[in-house]
Amino acid sequence: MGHVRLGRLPSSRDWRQIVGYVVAGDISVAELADAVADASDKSLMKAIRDPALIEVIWLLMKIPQAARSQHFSQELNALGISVPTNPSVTDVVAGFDAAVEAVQRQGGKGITDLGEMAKQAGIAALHGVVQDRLPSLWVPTREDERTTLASLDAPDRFGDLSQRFFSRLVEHNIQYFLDREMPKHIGPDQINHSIGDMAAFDGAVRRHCEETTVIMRAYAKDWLGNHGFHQGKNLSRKDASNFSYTAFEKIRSELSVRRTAHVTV
Amino acid sequence: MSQYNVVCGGENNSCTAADVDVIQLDVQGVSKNVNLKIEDLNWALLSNIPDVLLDLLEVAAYVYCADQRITRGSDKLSDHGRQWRRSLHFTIPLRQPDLWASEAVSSALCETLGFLSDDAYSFDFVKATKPLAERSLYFPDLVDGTFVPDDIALFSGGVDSFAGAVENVIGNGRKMVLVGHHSATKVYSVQKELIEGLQKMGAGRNIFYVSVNVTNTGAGATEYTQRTRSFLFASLALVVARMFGKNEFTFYENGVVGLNIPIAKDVLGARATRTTHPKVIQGFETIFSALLDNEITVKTPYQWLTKREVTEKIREYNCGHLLSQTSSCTRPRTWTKHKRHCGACSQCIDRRFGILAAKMGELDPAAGYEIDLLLGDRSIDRDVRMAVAFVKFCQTFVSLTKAGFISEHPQITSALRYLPGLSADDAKDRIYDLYRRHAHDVLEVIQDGLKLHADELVWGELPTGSLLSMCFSRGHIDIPPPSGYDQKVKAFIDELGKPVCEFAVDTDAGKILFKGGFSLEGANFKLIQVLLDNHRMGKKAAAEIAFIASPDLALALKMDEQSLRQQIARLKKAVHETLPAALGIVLDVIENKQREGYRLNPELREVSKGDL
Repeated sequence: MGHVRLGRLPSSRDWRQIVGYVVAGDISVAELADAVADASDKSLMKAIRDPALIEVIWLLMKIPQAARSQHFSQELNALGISVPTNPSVTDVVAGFDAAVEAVQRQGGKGITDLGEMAKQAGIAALHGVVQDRLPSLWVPTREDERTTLASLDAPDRFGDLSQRFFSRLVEHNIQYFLDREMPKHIGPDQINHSIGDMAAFDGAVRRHCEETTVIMRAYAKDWLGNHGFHQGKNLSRKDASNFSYTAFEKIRSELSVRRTAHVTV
Repeated sequence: MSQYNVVCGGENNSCTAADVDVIQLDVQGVSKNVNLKIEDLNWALLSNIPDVLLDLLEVAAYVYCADQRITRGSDKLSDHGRQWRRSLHFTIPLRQPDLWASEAVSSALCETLGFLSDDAYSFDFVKATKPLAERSLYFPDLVDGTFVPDDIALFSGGVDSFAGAVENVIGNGRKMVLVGHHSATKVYSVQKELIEGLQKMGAGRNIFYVSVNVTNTGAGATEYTQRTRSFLFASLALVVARMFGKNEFTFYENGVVGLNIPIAKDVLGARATRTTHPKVIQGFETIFSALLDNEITVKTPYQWLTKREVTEKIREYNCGHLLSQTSSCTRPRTWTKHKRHCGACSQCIDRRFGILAAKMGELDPAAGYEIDLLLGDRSIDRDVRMAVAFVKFCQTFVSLTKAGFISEHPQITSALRYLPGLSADDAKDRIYDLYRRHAHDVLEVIQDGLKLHADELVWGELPTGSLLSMCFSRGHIDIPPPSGYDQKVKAFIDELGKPVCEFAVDTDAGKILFKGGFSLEGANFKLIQVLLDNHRMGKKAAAEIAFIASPDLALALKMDEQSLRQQIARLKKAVHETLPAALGIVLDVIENKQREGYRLNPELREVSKGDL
């Protein structure tokens, strides 16, 4: 019964142009990704107001703080993340998923594609950054996972977490469109020569998104340093919303600079 | 999100909002537009149906028919798929509205349907103002006789449900009631043929087939995604199970399809069906148990099997000759007498890969598929995406590590808490193993195809739009250049404020000092002090820092090696509890190398007390 519904690209002028690029096959990954980001720019900006996105960013700020506590599971429960006692990072992301879904269902506004992307980007970033930073000389314990999560409360680590989150979000938004078109262009004279090439193409899109969002490392680090430490502030969802607004503006600005560079070249 | 008011059973519409569309549904009377029919049951069983289950049948039928009446927009997903999700408010007259309106039932119902379909659900369950349908309306063609089953299971006529029937009836000699829903006569024929096939094998007395038909009548269905269908199926199975005095029933579905990790990035939420997703199964159990005030169990015994592993059961119990009569295709409208599979939908592709991986291709002729899995031309846009996305997913998955699983497929987290008896970590690991087996199966089929059709590939005789060609055709080899750019930029930005783990030695106070006021003293101090000489020498000479052998270190500290290990563990614990949170530093202060011993982590930097 596992039906899957796949989509097609919209037929507006912007998207027809992008399909034209793909058909021509003489466009770089970066240019193609930028063109997609440009065409979906208005939609992406809507994500700023999406309660799921704000909840995701707020939780990414608060979970490391909770991990610093000796009462980790209680602190997570207070954030709306239901976990067992002495939770693993997998327990945390499973609870994170449910907590964001609860927000998505509140108020009858329901779930959105952008909210879903934000939730997935949050889970991917949180789990990924912990996995990458766990000690490797021994099999990590749950305590190692907790302390690694706690370390994300430090501004530079939060910069890493933020970049991963925004990078995954931008990447998902680009692939949300490209995944519908690229399979139609496989063959000796096409943009992808084989299915295997598509995986390499995906890797190139990811790299592009990481480069586009690298600015987040410095921004998020400074932002948390300023708000979390210097002002000793208990970060609210409003703070998370403000943070995400500026973050998106910075990413859009970066995308715009890169587009201009492509045009100049 | 588009809003709809679904008014059922002849109730009056109380909603006057201009932006809310109204849909009227009724299972009886002059305005009847929902057909609900459960056939071939015994007269005696009819009395076993309490009112709450008649209510359940109607609720499930209304939800299912409304789901089909309301469009989810086109597959262009305009405005980020805004039309995909709908807000549905139902007004349903029932026999026991108070029970349905209870928090336990209504919250579980809304949550489960919401997750199952991506829609937002709300209900007004009201006391019927007009006579509700008599139970006999839903059960035509009652027959005489008795049947005492061991199990009740849903039966679609696909590979998985057929394998379940074969394993139970032929393999284990159990008596089963098979509940088969069909909305098209072609599907009904498939189910009947398979039942007859099993009967010819001598299983006639062990099978009781119940045919169910729920359809929209009058107004045709406009939305074919039918995301709520498993709620209908489960409700039908429960009603039949209770008629036979059972508190459990079974969904036979392989785990890969049950979990259904999306294979493309536009497939978000329930666009990959969640019909037997663990969270949905648990939701059904919660709803049904609350309704009946009795523990109801929904079994999914093939949860940890791949399609290949399920298919192999059919051969194991000598029913391979019936394999070609099963049908998994989601497009029965396209079927012809000799081709019951379109070969392009996700179900066809999954089925064919499973069968070929099980080396049972000769039992399921390729001629039964409109498009051959590996050799058929998929040049038409509509047909190419699914196959390509399916293979690409598997190609990528085989190189994925267990540690990176959640990061690459975060959607899986929604299932981790709903697999009975497993922690989230154990569930994650088992799902990863299940998918790896699945991915290997798929790639092996392609590998076999390559061996079998190498000549055609070499001579360019395969259509360029065939899956096999698309796997291997290359004009030239593109190797992405090693960028390193992103790593360099990250490193540069991080270096601006990279935390360094500095410490100072206060010999007078007997303390190792860190920033933020944290210090190590007593036995921890002595331990670090012994390791410090090598650390300083190595740093001074800009050379590798030497390890101290475990016996030597123990001797220097005047303790045995067991005590030394305990002491080191205590020190690590003290450091782990403080440094990561206070300074954003995660490192093991003391490194241990097998057969070489211990040393201080070279990343530690000693400074003077004043500089600290």
